[in-house]
Amino acid sequence: MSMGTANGMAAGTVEIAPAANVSAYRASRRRESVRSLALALPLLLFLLATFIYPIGSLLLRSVQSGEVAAALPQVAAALQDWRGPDLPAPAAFEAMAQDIASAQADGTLVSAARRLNNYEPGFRSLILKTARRLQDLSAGSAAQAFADIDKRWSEVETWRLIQRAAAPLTPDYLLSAVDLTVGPNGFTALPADQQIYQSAFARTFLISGSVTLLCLVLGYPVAYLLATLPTRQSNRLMIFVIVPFWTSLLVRTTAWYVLLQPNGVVNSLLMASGLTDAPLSLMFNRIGVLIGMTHVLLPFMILANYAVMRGISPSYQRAAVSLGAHPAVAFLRVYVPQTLPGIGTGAFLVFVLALGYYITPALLGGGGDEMISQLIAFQMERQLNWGLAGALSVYLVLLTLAAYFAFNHFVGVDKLRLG
Amino acid sequence: MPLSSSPLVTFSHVAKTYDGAIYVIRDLNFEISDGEFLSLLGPSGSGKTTTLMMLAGFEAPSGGTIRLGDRTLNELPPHKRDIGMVFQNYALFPHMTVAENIAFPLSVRGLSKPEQRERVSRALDMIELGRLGDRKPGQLSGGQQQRVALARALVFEPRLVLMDEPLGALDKALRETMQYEIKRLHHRLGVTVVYVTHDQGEALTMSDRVAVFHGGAIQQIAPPSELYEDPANAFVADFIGENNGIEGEVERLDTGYATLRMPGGRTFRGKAGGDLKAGETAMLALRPERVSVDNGSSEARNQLSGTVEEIIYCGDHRRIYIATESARNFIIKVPNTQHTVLPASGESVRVNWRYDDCKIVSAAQA
Repeated sequence: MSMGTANGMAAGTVEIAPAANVSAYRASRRRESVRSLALALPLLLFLLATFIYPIGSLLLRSVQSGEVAAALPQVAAALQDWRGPDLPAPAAFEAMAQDIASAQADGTLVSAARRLNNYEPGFRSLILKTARRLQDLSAGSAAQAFADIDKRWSEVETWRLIQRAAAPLTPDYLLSAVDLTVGPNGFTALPADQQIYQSAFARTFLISGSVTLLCLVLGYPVAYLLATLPTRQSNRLMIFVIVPFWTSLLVRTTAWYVLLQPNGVVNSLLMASGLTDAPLSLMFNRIGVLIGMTHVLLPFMILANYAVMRGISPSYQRAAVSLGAHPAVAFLRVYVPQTLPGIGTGAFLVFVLALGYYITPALLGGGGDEMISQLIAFQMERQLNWGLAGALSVYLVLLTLAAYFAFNHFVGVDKLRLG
Repeated sequence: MPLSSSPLVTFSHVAKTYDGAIYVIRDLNFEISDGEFLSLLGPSGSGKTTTLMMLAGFEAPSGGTIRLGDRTLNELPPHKRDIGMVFQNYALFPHMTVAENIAFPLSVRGLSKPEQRERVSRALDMIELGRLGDRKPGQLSGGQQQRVALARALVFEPRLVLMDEPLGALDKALRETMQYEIKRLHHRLGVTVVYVTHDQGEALTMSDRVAVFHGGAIQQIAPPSELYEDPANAFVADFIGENNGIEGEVERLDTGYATLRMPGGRTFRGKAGGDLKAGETAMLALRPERVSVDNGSSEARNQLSGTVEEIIYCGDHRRIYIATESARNFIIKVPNTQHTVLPASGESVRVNWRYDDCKIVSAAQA
């Protein structure tokens, strides 16, 4: 710093740093941020490759519909400008015949048929039957040949479905994930006996909400006990919270699987003590799901509340009592409001984790207890309908985000305390 | 200020033990007059806070009775005692506004909303924070929070207010302002205050009486001047203000005076404290500002000679440390007046003080 600057400071004027200092400062800040980025870069790359990219591509599948366009490119082109209500031009039938032949040759026909089958059960067999029979025919009009193979080829609806399936982007998965479909007159609800997803989302919400409430009712008093006991005793008790927390989810769920069986430990004890005569059905139903999930998620509720309660001085309640409040009133009006950040954090964590639960409801639940993640897994593994799985995931992500924003609005993310 | 004769609070034979063996409070007997400002002063662990907590109802006495007015408090839960309390860290409820904090004792007593508002606004005016009612405690300075805590403890007009080191968290300048503020409120409202502190300056300047605690017992309960001028025992003499304590054996007792003999044979004469017996160990208590370094007048005086070790300049006075045969760290405070002739460091001096300026006190504690 120059002599002049020093004099200026002595005179008490506001100093403006020379330009050289500013650029040196900026350079040092830049070096700092490059260094931070370099430290986080390996993890970022790892997450990008193993987490963000796969999740993103699954979510994208909810609107992608490339199978039909890839297997039947000429059909897609021929149907591009077709609007009905008449059957498409004969050229479309010829394109179909050529596309089916070439798609069968390079093996893409099966996935296109499966994709079409999502719209209309029986479509897959129609395509495969057509492919078999087309080999025998060679002469005559393609349209007539198709009509001979199956009369569905003379129906406008069949071609309309193919046209829809051939579009590169489709709303179909997102619609069917909430039990809607595109009919001739826009969106319509599926028939009541085919609706499954709306009620599955509602059930997922109900189970998550019940588990959150159970965790709060069971966990809040324990957190209060841990926070108010002397440190040595509370550390000892804390082990009982932490050890299950560290134990594998699968192990704990399997343990409940053993305990809750009709002739398992719980039922044996209940019957031996004379409380019941016959075994209670504690698993493969909602009770089993709630017991298992509450047990697995309880530590989150306890730890979140404990972290907040530990910071609340007992002098607040003492002050309230000294000012004339009954201890119960002091607890409700002075203590509980101060623990709201803990309640909010615990409820948020438990609710969001419960929304995506899979193993516990799968092992302990019954037919009417499937949560949405089980249906997603079913679509991916059994039905191979990744588009629908992606669409269900999109809604799950949106619901989770909604829970997050609700939490942020009512509690505030800056109050999130995790230990 | 004039104290009424009827005691508001009576402690009789109050004891407190947590384990049945060690008593943190032993046989406490004292009274607090209506309208009095009483400080409980003592080092930490002396039992002053335990005494306050028993009065507030957060600790139950193991023996004896505490009475407030004509009621026995022992079995009365704290929320029914109608005693205001100010805590060390204020304990303002962070999720409530200032006005809601002050209204809390009124709302739990079931006062109507308009009356609550009326009383809260009067209380806010009293502490001169009229416009800050809508703030949260976290937005206030330490001094402002302290005033809100005071208003909250006073707004329901309790007869007795307890303060547990209320100014401990404030810096020195603010502490002095708040001491004045508390005194002003005490005078204006005529409320009885029991004030726990470990700061003797605070206790001496604010209180009508001070109870000095040590080892679970009151060593002396007296007005501030009496504590300083006339300490009851060696602990009080050492704890309150600065003291030159010289131990020796009581040689003779006569009409209010005692003579103390040092191991070296030198004797000092001073006012006799209670519980002195000839032949027992006692302590000479002497305030440093009562000692003269110039040659004494014709009055009967105690004499002591020694070597000046160090002179420290303290602005309004100087402190002179003298090594003597009887006391290693003998301190003299010399006021910084114009015509003081001071000895130099290393010089031999003779110091003296009047018989009436020192007191021979029992070395035993209460």
